[in-house]
Amino acid sequence: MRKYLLLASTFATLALAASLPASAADTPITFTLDAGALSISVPTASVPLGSSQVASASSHTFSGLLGTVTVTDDRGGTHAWVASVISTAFTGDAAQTAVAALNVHYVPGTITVSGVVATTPVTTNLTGVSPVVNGTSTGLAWASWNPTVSVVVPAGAAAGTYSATITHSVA
Amino acid sequence: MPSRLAILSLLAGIVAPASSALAASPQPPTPSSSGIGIRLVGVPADAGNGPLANSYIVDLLAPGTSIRRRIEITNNTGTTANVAVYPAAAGLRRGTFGFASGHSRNELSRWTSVSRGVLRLPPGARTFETVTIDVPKGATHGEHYAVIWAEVSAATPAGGGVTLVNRVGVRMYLSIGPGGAPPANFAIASLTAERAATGEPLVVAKIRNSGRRTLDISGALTLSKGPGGLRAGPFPVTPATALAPGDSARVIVLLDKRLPRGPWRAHMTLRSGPILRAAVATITFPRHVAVAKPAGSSRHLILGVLIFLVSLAVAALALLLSRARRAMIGRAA
Repeated sequence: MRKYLLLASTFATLALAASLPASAADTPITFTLDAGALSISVPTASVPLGSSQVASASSHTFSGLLGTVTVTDDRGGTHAWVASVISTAFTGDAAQTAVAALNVHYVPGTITVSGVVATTPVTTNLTGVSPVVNGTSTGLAWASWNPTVSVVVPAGAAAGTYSATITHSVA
Repeated sequence: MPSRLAILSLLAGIVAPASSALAASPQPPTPSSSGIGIRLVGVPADAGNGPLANSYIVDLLAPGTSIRRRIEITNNTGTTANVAVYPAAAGLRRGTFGFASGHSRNELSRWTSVSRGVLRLPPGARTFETVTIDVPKGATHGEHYAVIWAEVSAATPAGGGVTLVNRVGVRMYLSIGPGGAPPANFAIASLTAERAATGEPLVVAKIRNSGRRTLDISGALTLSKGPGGLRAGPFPVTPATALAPGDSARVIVLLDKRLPRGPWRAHMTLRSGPILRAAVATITFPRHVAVAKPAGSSRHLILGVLIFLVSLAVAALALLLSRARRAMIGRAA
């Protein structure tokens, strides 16, 4: 039921009067349906990437799945959206050298879609806001992916616990 | 030796494979507006701003004026969410709408304010926010871009790891001018057939925004009158392209490798709001240059034969030289 309503919102303003023959007796009927929302799933927990004993002479890569990100587009009609990602540097708990976002990499992996044509631009690292999924929605649509993030900890990094913030932006 | 080893941990305490910590089902159930949603409500149905204005804050404003828009923020999760609402800078470059990081500001985001910056939304709740844009007298003419974000964050981990922040937004395309809606227009300059390096045939349309409004271009391609009367399509243009006034872009339709080369009659329709443009061309896809094994192996074969011939010549020369030397030695003796 709601779906049909939302589908109708594709034509947010339908001026029926325009399609009817104009005459003095005609009463123009106009109605407005608001477009639906664009939504993103809410992260439920922070993500551990594991711990490792690393020889200081060589670099080490930590990687893990970030958890499913779902974009739901109920705006109706054809709409483009971009999902971008940025990471802060991984900082240690003491006065340690941080692992720069230059060493943080993001792979969206398989994108499950419904009503979305999704493309994945090449992302080198997460120093800037990097587009990771370009979506074009038609009608009521959603796209879902479980990205893998990897962090290359350079040789000679200080021991400790490192943390960072990764932000997904969709609009 | 401890100095030779650095114990690195992105998680204090628990050492768990990340995949098991996130044992989500591989096929997510069909989400129906899951998560945090944002939408524009009660958009004034005035002409000139086009259908884009139903989803984005699109307007033309004179310096010194202001507008208000209402947005609705929904929490479709099963838990209470703390949502931060704020405007931040955005931009348009080479057909792509890009966001600035965090709360970065630009002219438009500075002019924009929201009624409440932080919301606490119970499960299933929805609330309205008022967005006010006060354009100062000294505002720069032209197009301005920003996003109104609704942001949620996972709790900061006690011991290392990644804190996830997700945000979803409503785009703002604001045109500052002296008055009167500036015309929107675009043209398809050419429609050509190309082939990607990976072998897929492409149909490329070159478009130019000849108007004075930002466009969001979407469309489709249909192929007809192909070999044996084949028809194919419609194929959507992906991704939809955002185009600033005066800018040009290539709109690409990626097709299947198995598609015959043609000739085809290509018919592309592109739309941005009420403006519809079409282009028709007879195209033939360039031959797929087989870059992989066949060419490589024949090149190796030629190289092998060359090396063999050169070494043969060298051997013959060496033999000749040694014979000549022997003959000279014999003559001397």
